[in-house]
Amino acid sequence: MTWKDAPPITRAFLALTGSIFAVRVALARQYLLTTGIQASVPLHDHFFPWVLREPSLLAAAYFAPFCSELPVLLRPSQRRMRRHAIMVTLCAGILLVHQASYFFATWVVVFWAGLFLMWMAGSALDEPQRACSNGPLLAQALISFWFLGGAVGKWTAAYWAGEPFYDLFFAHHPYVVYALLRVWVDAGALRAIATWVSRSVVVIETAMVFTVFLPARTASAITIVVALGMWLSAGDLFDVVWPIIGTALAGRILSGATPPPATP
Amino acid sequence: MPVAERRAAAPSSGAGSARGRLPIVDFIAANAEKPDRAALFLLSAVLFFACFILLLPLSETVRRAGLRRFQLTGWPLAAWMLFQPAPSMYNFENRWEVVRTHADGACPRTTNGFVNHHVYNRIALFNCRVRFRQCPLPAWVHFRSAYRGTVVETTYRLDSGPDQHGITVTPVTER
Repeated sequence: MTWKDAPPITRAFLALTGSIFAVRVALARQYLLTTGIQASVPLHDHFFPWVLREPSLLAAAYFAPFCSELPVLLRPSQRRMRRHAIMVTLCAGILLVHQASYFFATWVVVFWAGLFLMWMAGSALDEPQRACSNGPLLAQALISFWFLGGAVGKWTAAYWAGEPFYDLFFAHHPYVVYALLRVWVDAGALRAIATWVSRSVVVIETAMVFTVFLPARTASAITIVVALGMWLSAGDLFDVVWPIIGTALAGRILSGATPPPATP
Repeated sequence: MPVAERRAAAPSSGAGSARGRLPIVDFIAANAEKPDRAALFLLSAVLFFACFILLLPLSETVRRAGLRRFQLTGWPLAAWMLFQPAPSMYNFENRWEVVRTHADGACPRTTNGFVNHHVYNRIALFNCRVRFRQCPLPAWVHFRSAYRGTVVETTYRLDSGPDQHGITVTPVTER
């Protein structure tokens, strides 16, 4: 089956699955390392029970979805799509509460994207006509929701002044953009750039909350542009950016389906 | 059965999503006609978490809970797990400070800075815990998270783990 032959729901499913798969491949080495350190330098704390500290659980939750990801990407069927959607959601849910991975925003986005995949593989495949009416809004609601979570927590004086971003990125971060800025501009200008970038982030994230009310194609295009901007600002944000783009593409694909021929 | 083979039975097109119409209008119209329970469940879950996020600037209780969630204090594990799907990227003004009993080579006596969100990641993250293990212990890690007038502070003491294996983390104070 070629991409063009596939029904829109399958294409939307594959777009989102492909974006998550790409993240999983890109982070595989880091998670091998994390698993090794989780085993060799265990953290005994007051909060996580032993099962949520288990290195084997971390490795299983990270790598197990490959087993369903590859088959569904190569030859999607309803059964494979359903199995994979459940696998992605369940494993992201585990990674969201494991001691070594709970703090990565990746798994928040992938968890919700997994629920969206479950909807596509279930209800949407059962009733494809209705799904193309519901799918774009679900994609946009998820994108708005993710940006809402980012925006509200930044409605503070420090973010408006740019202090956290200055400290986290501009002053020390090794990423090429910040390294070059530190070479090109003096300390005062660097501080001013940090302030205006931080303000832009607060305003853009807040504005992105309203994408749920936009037409599907416009919302998808804006989301992709903003997500690429995020990626440009911090190269290691690909783990959040790619699934956001995958969700935006899925919404666009579902919205682009032509109306069915009228039935007598 | 490959999905492509089902095209005849299930047309590859949508009933709604007419060009120019807003998805929210299509969604309401489609669900008024025949509710899609799975879609409504997903949307309800999003709205449930969105309500808590929107309460952050409005409620001192929610603010405090949100700040404590980052510091792993004051939350029963089950409730904390339930709220983990709430997106909170780069939320709040989070600072941390590490104090060691003495400096040693690459391990300064004190270090400090901002933390992006879940502050305890400065202890739990794989590269951070390796650095703690390579430096003299015990060390005290102080977290301070603030959001619109609400401040939560927690100090953790880090010691060598049992049999010098790993790290033991003990909460010392919370305010």
